[in-house]
Amino acid sequence: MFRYIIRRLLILPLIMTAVSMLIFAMLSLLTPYERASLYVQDISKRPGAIDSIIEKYGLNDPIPVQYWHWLVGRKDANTGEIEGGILRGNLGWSKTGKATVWEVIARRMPATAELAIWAGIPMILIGVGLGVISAVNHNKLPDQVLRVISIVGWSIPVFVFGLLCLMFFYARLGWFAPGRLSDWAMQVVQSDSYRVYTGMYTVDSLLNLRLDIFRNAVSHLVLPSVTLAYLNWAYMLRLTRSSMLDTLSQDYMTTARAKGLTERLVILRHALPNGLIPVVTIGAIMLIGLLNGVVITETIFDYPGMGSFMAQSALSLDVISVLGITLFSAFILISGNLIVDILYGIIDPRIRLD
Amino acid sequence: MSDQGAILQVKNLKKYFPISQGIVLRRQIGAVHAVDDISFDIRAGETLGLVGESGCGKSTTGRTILQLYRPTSGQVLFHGEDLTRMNRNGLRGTRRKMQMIFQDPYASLNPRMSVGEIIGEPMLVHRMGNRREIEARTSELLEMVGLNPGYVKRYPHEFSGGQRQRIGIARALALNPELIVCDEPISALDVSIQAQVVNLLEDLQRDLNLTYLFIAHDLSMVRHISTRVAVMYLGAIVEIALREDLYNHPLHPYTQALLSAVPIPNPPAERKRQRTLLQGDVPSPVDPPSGCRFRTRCPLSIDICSRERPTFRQVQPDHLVACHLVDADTKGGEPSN
Amino acid sequence: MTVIKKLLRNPTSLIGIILLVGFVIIALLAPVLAPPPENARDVYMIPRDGFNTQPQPPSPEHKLGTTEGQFDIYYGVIWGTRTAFRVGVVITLLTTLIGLTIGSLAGFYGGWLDEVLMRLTEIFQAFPFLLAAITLTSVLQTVYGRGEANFLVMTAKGLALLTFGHNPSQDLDPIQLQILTGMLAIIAFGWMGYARVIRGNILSVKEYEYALAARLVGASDMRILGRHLLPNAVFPVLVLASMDIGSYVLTFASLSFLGLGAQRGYADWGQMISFARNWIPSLADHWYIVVYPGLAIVLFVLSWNLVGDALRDILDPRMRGRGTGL
Repeated sequence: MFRYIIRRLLILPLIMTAVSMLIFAMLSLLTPYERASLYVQDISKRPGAIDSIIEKYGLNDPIPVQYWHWLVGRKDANTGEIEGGILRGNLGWSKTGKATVWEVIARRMPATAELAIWAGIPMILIGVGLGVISAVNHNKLPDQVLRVISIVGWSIPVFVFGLLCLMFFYARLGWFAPGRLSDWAMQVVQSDSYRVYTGMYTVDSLLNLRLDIFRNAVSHLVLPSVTLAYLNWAYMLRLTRSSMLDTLSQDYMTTARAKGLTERLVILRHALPNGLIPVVTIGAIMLIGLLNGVVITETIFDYPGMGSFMAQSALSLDVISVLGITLFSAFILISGNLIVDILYGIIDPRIRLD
Repeated sequence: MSDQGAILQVKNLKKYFPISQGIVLRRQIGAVHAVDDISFDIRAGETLGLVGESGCGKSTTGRTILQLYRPTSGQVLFHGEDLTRMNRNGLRGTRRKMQMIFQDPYASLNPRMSVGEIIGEPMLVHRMGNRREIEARTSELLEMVGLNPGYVKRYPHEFSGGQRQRIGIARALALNPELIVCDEPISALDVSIQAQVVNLLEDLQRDLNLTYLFIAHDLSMVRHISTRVAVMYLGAIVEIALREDLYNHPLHPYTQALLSAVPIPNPPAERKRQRTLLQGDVPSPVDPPSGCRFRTRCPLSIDICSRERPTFRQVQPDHLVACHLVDADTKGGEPSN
Repeated sequence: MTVIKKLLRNPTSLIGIILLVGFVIIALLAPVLAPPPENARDVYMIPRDGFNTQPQPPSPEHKLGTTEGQFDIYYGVIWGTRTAFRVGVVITLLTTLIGLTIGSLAGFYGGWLDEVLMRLTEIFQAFPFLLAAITLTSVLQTVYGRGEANFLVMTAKGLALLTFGHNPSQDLDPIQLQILTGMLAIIAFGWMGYARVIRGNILSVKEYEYALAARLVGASDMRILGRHLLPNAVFPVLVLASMDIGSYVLTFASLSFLGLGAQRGYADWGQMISFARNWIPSLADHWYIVVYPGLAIVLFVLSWNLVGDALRDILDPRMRGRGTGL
């Protein structure tokens, strides 16, 4: 099993390299002029700027050379400084965010992470929980109902669901509002008396012992979390259900029952541990769903995270930002998959024989 | 070994399947020695039975001869031409003369093709005539194997196992081959059907001048149809002889053991027989025993058996064996049944 | 075929089929149900009744109301059916073709080709689908905005021909172009699932004796692949594809919603809903902007899901591989 893990770890840099090549390939579809103009705010004001940027970043070099420089950085002939370099954390300049892409990501990450966590936990609990219930009550009423709900749920697009939520709970009832914090809470958070630890308002507010901020943050998180979670719970329900059904039909279940165990014990001790193994792979699926879902969810709810930034940049054709975020997300996804694979290898004894 | 009208000559044929392992790049750490240096002839018009336990390499031999697997080394000469040296195009011509009948009647026919299409495909690929000619010949072939030509439009799932084998035989005959490798063609059939199919094969051999390599795992199965029989163990041929010679005077201990397991339809004689029981399991083909491969289970093995691999040589007219004991006593050992 | 009979007997799939047939009828009868104005430049651009920015609720002239800018919602929903079918079917068709080609070549030839193609598949799969689609769409829109003629333009023209019946010798229509970029982006990142499934199936079918028999007879690789292997391996892929049509329509609607797919005023459901983004505080009053196109999307995707799901249930024992297990 050790070998299994090592093998997966060694492949990681290879995949990342290949992914970076694909990203770069998309980047190089643009002409040097277009790429340079992404760095300049207002072209009309600085006519020679484009050429100097092309010069500075070596955007006219042959493609393999450009790729190399894009990866590791390029020494500026005049200043002697090293410019660029993905590996040095330099993802380029974001026209939309008016800062480096990395800065924007760092600034917005905590918001997205907070949303993801608040959405992810209910997603797993509800999805897996309902899946187990569904499987245990195979073809009986709860199962049928859940099946119908999940197929219908699977068919409603995220943005429709989100807008409907806003329509009821915000426009009509006024219970929740879009955005991350109300204005008064924002003022408190930005003042000196508030210390920032993680950037996540729910966590920090508790650490700052400000329950009112906490409540405010949570109330702003309810609708987006539900929307984001909604996207995937249907899928998880079905996955869990099918895996549990497989397990429940195994012979050792009959043996357990024949031993005289109560049904509850049978499920808890035998069915769940085995049936939930493939559910670990849900972690990977969930990650994809979250990464995809935040774009629309944050946009609808005016939530200042990475997703909404992605949408904004795409709309203004800020390719650098878009590519930077995609590269970053791909990295997260690949790492996530790796962790899931390793976990899977630890949990499932069969894989250890590899 | 004199030529004696051999149409197929196999010389030092080896087929190893590599086993790989490795963290990122997979390297080969070993191989399955499926076929490990065998040599034999098949003569025109004869039926050579090839017998051995499961996993001894007999199916692999059949497929490697036909170049479905490319040999690791060795030669396969068909009418003097070395098939191992030919590329796809060269083989295409020779393919017309060598065909195969498969073991599993359910996997050997494409479930999505009609019987007519299945039998017609070889002729289509080799452009043997226009559509009407092919259809005519298909009907002819169906009759030859004892099936109603009206079945041409039906699909494999509408037929029984025995009938499907007949379809497979008809397909093999479509190109007028000289040599047919029968890879356990009756093993998957009911006993009552087995005899019918064997009889059909015999009739066809007589009428069409065919040569067979008949692969089976059971000595009693090949007795009826074979002219000569070869016995295989763990990738090597241990004995080849004319049928009666092999059954009445087996020289190799393995052959003797196999034969002693075949019941005689004579209860008193059967009861008096002494069975030769083989000890242990078949060794793994990945790491065969040194020297003679059979020595780990041979009741008669001696010192030299673990050091040297016995050469496969003729000890009597048309009777070849690979055994140190037989070499030691050139007149042949006593059969122990 | 017995499969169709079974589909009709199953209540959920029956509903799905009825819905689908309903949509087909609406799509075919669009010119009758919502006649386009006389001198409309492009029938897919929703007609506007004035330029008032305030959306109007349903009324006798505008049965489902109007959006900001007075685009008629009823017209958009009806003609949007055509867009949905076109986009969904074409994307599914192409992703399936690409996936089948790559997967079967990899499975059939094995060796280094298999390694290369599978690595390629893995790399494409390393991207979250929507993000990748958004990325490629924005890149392509920049590229096509240039107005040059090159390989990408040829691809777009081919796609335009397939989707809209657009004459390739003419320049690309800018209205269609935005839609095409979205479609291209989705196609580029949507084929991997099929490649994996067909590769696995071909690997298992490859060693069946009838495939060996065909090789023995001297059949060419193409013949073996096309006549023997693919017909016996392709069915699960077709089932997957039918289930996926719905999700491709959803993805495209998401792109349109974000402003990247169909452009403003085009008869596309996702695009119409994006009008609601400016009216969130008063969404309760302007519910019709979201509800009517939203209902259309939900029912459309639902019908495909029902049919695809039932198909999978019917073939369940024979299907392995990716699936959402019901």
